Amino acid sequence: MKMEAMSLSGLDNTKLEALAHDIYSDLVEDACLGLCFEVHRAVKQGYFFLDETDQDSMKDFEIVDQPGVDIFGQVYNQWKNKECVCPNCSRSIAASRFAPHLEKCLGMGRNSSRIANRRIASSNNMSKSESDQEDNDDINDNDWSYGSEKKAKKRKSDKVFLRSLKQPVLLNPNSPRRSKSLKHKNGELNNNVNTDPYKYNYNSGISYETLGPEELRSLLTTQCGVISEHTKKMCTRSLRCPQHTDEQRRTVRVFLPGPSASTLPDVDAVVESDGYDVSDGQALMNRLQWDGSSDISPSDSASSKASTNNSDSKKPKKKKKPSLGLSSSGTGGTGGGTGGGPGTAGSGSSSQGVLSLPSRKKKPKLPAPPTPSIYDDMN
Amino acid sequence: MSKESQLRALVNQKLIEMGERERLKELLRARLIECGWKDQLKAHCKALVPDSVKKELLQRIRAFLAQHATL
Repeated sequence: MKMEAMSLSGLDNTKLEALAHDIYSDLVEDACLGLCFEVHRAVKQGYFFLDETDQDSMKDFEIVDQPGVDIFGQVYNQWKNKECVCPNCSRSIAASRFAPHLEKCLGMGRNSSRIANRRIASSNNMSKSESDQEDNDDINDNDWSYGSEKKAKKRKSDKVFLRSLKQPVLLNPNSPRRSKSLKHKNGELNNNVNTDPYKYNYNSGISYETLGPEELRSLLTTQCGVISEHTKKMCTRSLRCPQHTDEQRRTVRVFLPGPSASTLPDVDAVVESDGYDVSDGQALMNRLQWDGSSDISPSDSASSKASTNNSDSKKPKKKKKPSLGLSSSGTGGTGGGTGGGPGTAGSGSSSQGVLSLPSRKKKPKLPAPPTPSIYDDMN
Repeated sequence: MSKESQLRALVNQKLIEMGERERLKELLRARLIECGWKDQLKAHCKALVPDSVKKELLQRIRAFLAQHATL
């Protein structure tokens, strides 16, 4: 398009004024056209006459500015404190809890059937396992049954698992009811505890606070028992579970029970004592128990001086167990022979080791009496 | 005068190109609403409808309503 160079400066004022006015009137025409479109739309949509409401109806919809009420005049928490009476159980329920309560009460809704099934399963399990034990009197005791119900809910999943595996249900070594029957049925319980970790992979733990000392000991002989930081539960996997180190297991065994608790090396001893005579194996195990406990002490305490001896011998001790066994069975009183014994001074060393343990635990009396008997046996 | 009209056309074109026209329009719209010009204009236009036209239309509407009383 050919543009002629035009300059505005050449025009005089009046002409410029006229030009400006023209542009202005163009703009105003556009504005009017815009208005026309707006009105036309308002008429078409039916909101053209809305600004002509009468004063009375205007008053009705005025903005409300009172406290406790929104701008429409509605109260916010009107139904908060209301209580409804359930038609099923005739209880008075808070309004906000009414719907879930009704779901459970009528037995409809997704969760209620699940919960009912679980309850049936667990009550079946419980009644089956405990019908022949004297725990039945627990049921009559209100406190116990309440507590056990609550615990039963938590252990529910354990029982459900076992049920699916078709195990004899004696699952919960850690339920509070168990401790009563434990004294009579220690052997049985041990067996069951043994089978549990191997037969189901459910990795829940056990809370060590609920265990009696005997239960604890039996648990520690067969299971890992390391206490998890976040859940405060003991690991129920095998003694060689890969999640925890032997260090941790030793720590637990020192920490929880008295020094008479069973110890880690039992596993190795059991494994390696297959090659020996039964009596020797037994003696070996007993001996190793004490050695093990003395081993625990060094790993824990940095303060005890006796521990330096023991800590050195920790690793060699594991590897040299056969030699230890041989030498112990052979030499008897002279004890650990080469490096096996902590401090390797035979009974002296083990008693020393054992004594170092109680020094940490401030229970000086404990292990001394049994030690001579072990060596007596071996002699 | 064609030169002036040419000039005007040119100026308008320039205005549009630079977006200034749009800005001016918006500004005008805002100002007119502020000062109530639009409402006045609406009322005025309503009043401007001549009586005869209004009467005729009202008649037609009444007839229609009477005809279709049951809706």
